[in-house]
Amino acid sequence: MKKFLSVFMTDFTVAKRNMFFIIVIILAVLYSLIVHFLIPEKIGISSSPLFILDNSDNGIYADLKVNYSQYLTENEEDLKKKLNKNSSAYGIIIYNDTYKIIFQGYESEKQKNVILASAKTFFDSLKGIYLFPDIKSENIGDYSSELPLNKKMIPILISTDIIILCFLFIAVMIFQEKQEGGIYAYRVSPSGTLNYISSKILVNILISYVFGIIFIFLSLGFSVNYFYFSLLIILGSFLISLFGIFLAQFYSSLNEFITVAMVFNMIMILPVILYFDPLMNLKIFRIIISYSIMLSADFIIKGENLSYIIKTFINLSVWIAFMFPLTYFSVRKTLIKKVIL
Amino acid sequence: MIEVKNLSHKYSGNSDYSVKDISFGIKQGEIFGFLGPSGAGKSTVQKILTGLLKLQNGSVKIDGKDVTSAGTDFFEKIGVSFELPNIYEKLTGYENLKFYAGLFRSKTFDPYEVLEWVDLKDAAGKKAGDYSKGMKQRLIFARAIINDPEILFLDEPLSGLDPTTAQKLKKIIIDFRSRGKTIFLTTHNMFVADELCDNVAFINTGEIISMDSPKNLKLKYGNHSLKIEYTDGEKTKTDIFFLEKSEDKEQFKNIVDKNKIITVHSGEATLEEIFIKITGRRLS
Repeated sequence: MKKFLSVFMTDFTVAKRNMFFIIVIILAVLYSLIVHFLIPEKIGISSSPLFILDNSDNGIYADLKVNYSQYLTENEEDLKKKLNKNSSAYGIIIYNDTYKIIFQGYESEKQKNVILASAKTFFDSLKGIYLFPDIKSENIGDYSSELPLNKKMIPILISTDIIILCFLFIAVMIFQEKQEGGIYAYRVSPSGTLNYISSKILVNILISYVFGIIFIFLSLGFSVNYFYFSLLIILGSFLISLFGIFLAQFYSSLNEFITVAMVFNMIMILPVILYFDPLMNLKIFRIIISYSIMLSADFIIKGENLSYIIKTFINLSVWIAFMFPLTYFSVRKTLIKKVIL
Repeated sequence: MIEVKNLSHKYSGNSDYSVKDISFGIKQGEIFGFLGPSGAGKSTVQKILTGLLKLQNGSVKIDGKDVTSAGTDFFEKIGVSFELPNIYEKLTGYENLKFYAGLFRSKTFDPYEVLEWVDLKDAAGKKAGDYSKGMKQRLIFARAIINDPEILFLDEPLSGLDPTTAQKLKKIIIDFRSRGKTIFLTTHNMFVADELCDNVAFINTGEIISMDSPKNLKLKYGNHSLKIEYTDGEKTKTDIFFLEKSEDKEQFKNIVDKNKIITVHSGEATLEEIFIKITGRRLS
């Protein structure tokens, strides 16, 4: 224990003097400000204004003038002018026997289909047609409710930052030690590989934890389960630190390692696409560990799907159980036993 | 204490041997100097002895145990000082020693005490990265002795130090020997070797070319000389005579009989002169 504490104090003090803790605290505060003040709660079609031009002979839909007068436009020129002014708006021109929807042009096919279907339902209701007045719905997947957009960004920011910072910080610690030569002195000391790895991982977990907890507290206050969040951050940063040590040991400088770091981080960021749009056919991304971290953070914020959260903890633990001995033996063979001249 | 037999080492498959079939032994309480120019293979041997480099050929036994099986117990009783600075630059001098001392199970010296020995107590709270080259060298030396090791491996411990500080470190090394510690010292500094070592081995291009005590080496290879300063008329002249040679002996007698002698100095060959004589190569 004495040996471990000494290695830990060395790593902790070096990390502190490298400003790692200050960097993550600043990031956490900055991110919470972004979540609170810069990212809106909603974007997309649900908040898009609709401008209507009634070009039918005698105004087929009398209700429009009563209930939607503020959205009615005088003529086509007026309609397009309003659309140009508001880039998220779209328009409808009503004719005697049909209607035309005017899009901005950037909408996806999915958005267009939703708007077309909504418009049909809307006009049917104006006509008094209610085919299925009481529509029920059920979720069969992992997704039940949707977070507001700014809150939905929190799992992404937490997971990507833990992954990127953890991976880079641990690599920096290893390369700094190699460059300054401290690793050579460590090799001829009686403290072994286990202390070397464990100490660096613990420092990295602490850094991630400081970032994660400050960010979550400033963004969500007391409305989330901190036990689950803590467990997620600890297990996630533990695993990523192991990946970082395992890969960094084979390189002699950060310059050589940077390409590997970029590839690793790009792969880890890929699941963001799937997280934002589960309809995309990218199920392969689910096997990337950052996806389950992201989705679990999402569920912890929403306070639901405990079984998925626990499944993620088990998954991370299994990965750690696999990576720890692998990292231990390779570091012992490569970093501790071999001299890189 | 240390037994090395037929040790050879090469860094890559196709390269020449950096160390070729060398053998030597070091007794407990002895300072053994490994003397040779840069690139001779001194540091390679130290790295093999300390377990930093894998043993390829030959055998190395330290305290009766094979170095290939060196574990925690072995590292508990050795101290290693490296030629190049390898310290944690973000830590203070004190922290470097304190945290390193914490890696040992056995009792260690108080870091402040050791810093005082090497004249770094005033800089104890300063970041090691801000130390001068000489200060870093002293800090590495201090770290090597913090655990009061049984065997001390020192790689150019006095290089870059001013004479006063070097003298202090020499005193510490001698004190360690007097307490029965074994010291393996690699250097290219003949004066350091001459002053400190009980036995020296000359190493050149990976091979030991001669090994004995400095005194015996001087007796074996050195020539005794006399340097004489005298007046010849109004001029002051200086001549060196090797008294083993009969013509020098005769000439010396004539000068002493006919001239006024100002100074006479006896001289013996230095280790560097002997090294040059054997290898045709300078040490530094």
